[in-house]
Amino acid sequence: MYRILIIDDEEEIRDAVARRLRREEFQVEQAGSQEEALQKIAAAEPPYDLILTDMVMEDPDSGVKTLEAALSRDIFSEVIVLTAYGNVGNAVECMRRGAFDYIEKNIPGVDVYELLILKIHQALERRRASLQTLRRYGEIARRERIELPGVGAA
Amino acid sequence: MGESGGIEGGEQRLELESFNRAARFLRSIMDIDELLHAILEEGVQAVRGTRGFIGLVNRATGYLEIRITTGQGWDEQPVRKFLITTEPGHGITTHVAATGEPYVSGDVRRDPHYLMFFPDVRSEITVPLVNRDGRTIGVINVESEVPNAFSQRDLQLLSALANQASIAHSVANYRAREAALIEIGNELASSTDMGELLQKVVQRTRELLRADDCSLFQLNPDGDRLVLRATGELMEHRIGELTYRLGEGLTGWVARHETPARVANVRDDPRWRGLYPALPSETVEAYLGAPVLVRRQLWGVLRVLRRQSGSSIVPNDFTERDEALLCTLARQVGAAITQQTLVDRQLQMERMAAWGEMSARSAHMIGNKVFAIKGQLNELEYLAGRPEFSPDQVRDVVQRAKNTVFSLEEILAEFRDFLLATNLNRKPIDLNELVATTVRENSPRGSLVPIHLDAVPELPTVSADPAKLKRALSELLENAVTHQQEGGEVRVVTGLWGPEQREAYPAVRAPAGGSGPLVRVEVLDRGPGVPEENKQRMFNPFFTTRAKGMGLGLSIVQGIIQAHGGTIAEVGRPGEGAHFVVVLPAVAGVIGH
Repeated sequence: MYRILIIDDEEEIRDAVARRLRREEFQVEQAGSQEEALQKIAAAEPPYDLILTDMVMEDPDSGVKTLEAALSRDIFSEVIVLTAYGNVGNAVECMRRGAFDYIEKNIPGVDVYELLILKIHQALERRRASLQTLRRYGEIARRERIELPGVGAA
Repeated sequence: MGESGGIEGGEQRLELESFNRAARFLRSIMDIDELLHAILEEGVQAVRGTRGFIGLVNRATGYLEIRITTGQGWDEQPVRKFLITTEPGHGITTHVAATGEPYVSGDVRRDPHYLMFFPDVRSEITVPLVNRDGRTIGVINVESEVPNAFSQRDLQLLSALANQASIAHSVANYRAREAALIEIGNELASSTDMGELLQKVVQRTRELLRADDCSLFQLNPDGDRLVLRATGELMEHRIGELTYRLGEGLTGWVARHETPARVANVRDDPRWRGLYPALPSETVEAYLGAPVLVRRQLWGVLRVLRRQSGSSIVPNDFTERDEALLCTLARQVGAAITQQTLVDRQLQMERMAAWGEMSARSAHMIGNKVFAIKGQLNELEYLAGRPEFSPDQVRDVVQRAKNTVFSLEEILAEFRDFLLATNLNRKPIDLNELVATTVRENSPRGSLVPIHLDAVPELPTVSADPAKLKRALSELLENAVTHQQEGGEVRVVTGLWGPEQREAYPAVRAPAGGSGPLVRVEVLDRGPGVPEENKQRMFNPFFTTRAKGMGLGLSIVQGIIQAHGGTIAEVGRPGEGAHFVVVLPAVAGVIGH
């Protein structure tokens, strides 16, 4: 079961998103502030598979900080940034630094929750692929090392 | 000092010395009265007189006024001024003031101009003080108990001293004008309100130019009329009403030609219209007006008027130097208005920026709420489509959706209250009654935080918008309660705002202006209090320590209080609970009394 952390300072939003995610049978945790989020990311064992973070108005760098914390905990963690009105610039900056995507909270005529689920599945797919590749590399490396003349014998 | 060249020979050394002493004195002394006194003493001594005075012409009244005296008997002499006239029998000094010619009388008792002042006088010598414009500004008069006491040489000597006195007088006038100009410059530069600025200009100009009226006219936006913008008490009631067409009257002429106008006798000038009902045309003598330019464009006209003096032969007109002074003032006004418009534009931009921030924030917050509602609808749709439909689950989601809509409405209400905080619908209210009602409405049964009211009865009436004032008070009470989640107490105190409170709470800047009584409402709680660094900025829009709302609460409260002409401050000690003090201006009298 995938573990997902939702970060947003509005309880109603965390609650609505968490309910939708649980329907997909994800294991969902919440953080109501940047501080709480960084703590949870550092303490999570194993690391979260995906982090869904809001861009806080008061700190324009909040998305970037969360992203950096997540990636330094686990380079293959996927981060999706939620943006309210007027924060697209910061969200794009997050993507440049490795976020999977960003979603605007208010897209007229779109059920953003369904869009969100779609993106989350895509992100988790990428994570799965990344981890698989990593595993394969590991295996190759192990094999290579074993097959390298002199290494195993030494 | 040409006269000194006429004094020759050793026997005049004494006189020459006294003259030189006076000259040195003149340079070293700043105080004009002290200086005139020294000149008079020297004069009386030099011509061996027994008594003397210096009189100055008051142009506004047409009287010669005694300024400095020396010798015996002045204390018993109550008369200190004489109407200036050439008619015989009104005194030698007024005759000299009227003609500007020196006068020597060896036997006053037979002199047609003599007016007895002291019975022991036999001879009199009077010389005029003449200024640079050739006008008589005063006289030096010396008397003697000896008949034929004064010679032609005495006359020359006294004339030379009079010359020095008038130079000193001019210098003193210059200094006074210079000081006043600097002061006006500073005042204008520090003024922050356009109306106040213009009012200061006319008041100062009137004082400085000794005018009976000073008014400032502004060109209307169409550029075809001059509208009275600022004036003295004579025409205060016509501000904004009294207008001149461009080119009409002397003021209209000044505006059209962008040139100053100086007229000594207004009724002889065809341009004069005399439209001021408070200043009847037949009483006005002189006109002086200068154009006010702002960034090289005509802004308006600054003009002063003088009434006729009481004496038909003392002109009360403006001099060339007065004109130069008015032009300088008009330039200062122009610069100050330019400055003020720049400041106004800056404020306007700041307001626009605040609006921008306000819009961005509200869009952000409303967007978030709408996003939550979308999520709740998404869930409802999902629940409705499931085979095992559960009404309880649906009701739960609906309730949450409703709560979100309510909080959306709270944001909208806050937004509206912020915009309307200063839009008052005033009526006389009993503050105690309003406070009591508000306290009652904010005290739910069995609350963990009881609210106690401690009201001083029979407070003076306040002219207020009751709904707005209640809104402000409720916000303070609500804040106090929310900051005491674990239980506590709120105390509300009403009373007069007097010297005792002023001393106790120096941080509260009681409303300025108005002489009426002040009343206070205090709200105290036992919560955590307000840290020192937040005491000021907690009233800024969007300042919040809570997640709820937009953070406009206290800025709305402050807006409402300030719109009522009052002030609000937080004076509690951090850690010992918050203590808000609201001071409001009241009107004298108690409702129902």
